[in-house]
Amino acid sequence: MKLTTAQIQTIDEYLQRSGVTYWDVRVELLDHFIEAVEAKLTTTTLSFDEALMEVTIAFGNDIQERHLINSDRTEVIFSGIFSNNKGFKEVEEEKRKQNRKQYLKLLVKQVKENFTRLQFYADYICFALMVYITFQYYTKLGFVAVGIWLTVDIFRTLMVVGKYQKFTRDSLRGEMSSKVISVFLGITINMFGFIFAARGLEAKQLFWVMLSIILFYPVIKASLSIHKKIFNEYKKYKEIVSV
Amino acid sequence: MGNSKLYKGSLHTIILKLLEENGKMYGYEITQKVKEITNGELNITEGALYPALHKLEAEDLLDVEVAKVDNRLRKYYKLTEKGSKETVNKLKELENYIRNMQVLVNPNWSIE
Repeated sequence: MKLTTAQIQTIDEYLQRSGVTYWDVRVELLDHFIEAVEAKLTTTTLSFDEALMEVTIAFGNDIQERHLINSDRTEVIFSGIFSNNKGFKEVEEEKRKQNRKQYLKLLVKQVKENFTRLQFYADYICFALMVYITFQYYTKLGFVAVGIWLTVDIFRTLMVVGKYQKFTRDSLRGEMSSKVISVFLGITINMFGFIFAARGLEAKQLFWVMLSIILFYPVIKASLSIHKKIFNEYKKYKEIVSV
Repeated sequence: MGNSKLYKGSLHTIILKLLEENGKMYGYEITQKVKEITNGELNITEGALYPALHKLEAEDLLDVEVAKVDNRLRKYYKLTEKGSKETVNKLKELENYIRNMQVLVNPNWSIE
């Protein structure tokens, strides 16, 4: 028996209330719930709510009945059936763990991919030269230049994604990718703080700071590319279901 | 027999074997296929299936294909090249395990 749009909406809202808030996790569970509930309604005499509860239990959630005591403590009133959402949390937690592993692989792959593109080489050489020249002549200017260059790069990516305000709250992969970018943005903003710290730096220390910035640049660029890719995938799937 | 803990360690192998035989499958389909093949004896719980699928995907053993079905998205899983090779290894491992258990538990019985 096919579910109605209203029933599907009910399941989607139920999953969200049960803590499956990330769209990229929920979309798979929603499909499973719809299929499983439809099958139960076809092959058994269960009601929609009962079928929903059975599928919830199959996900490893514990169901408990809750009761309330009336104000004069003379009667116990049944207040409803609640799920502890343990199973849903486990699915989400495992997905988060696997996403982290996948992200590192993606990062390495993206760095390699960037090094096959001429445009990236041009960009990288410009950046490295800018860092080298500015640091050679005036240390403070070097930190300012690096800070501005990276801030512009990061904000350009965030502007593309920024149109979809919900993206990072809605997507588990998007949330993780945003966190990585936030760390890089934090480091970049701290570049400006180095202006004052640089006063005491010796030439050798300065050389290592400069080299670290140059070597780290491809990783930052790769993380920005990944963020855009994850966003484009999210946008594509959102558009598919809205058509 | 129901859901014996003995099956837990073989879940990845079961999933890989099913995908090897059926090409691409989605989560609910996998649970139903296992039920059908084992005449309802073995029941893969959803709470174990999805973490296993996500783990196999992260290990690059499975690839994901998303399709629109009845105005919703469905995630299909299929074996990658690495996954196909791993399936052969895992099945061999499982076969050896069954053989060894046989020898230990009932030396006169054989699966041959």
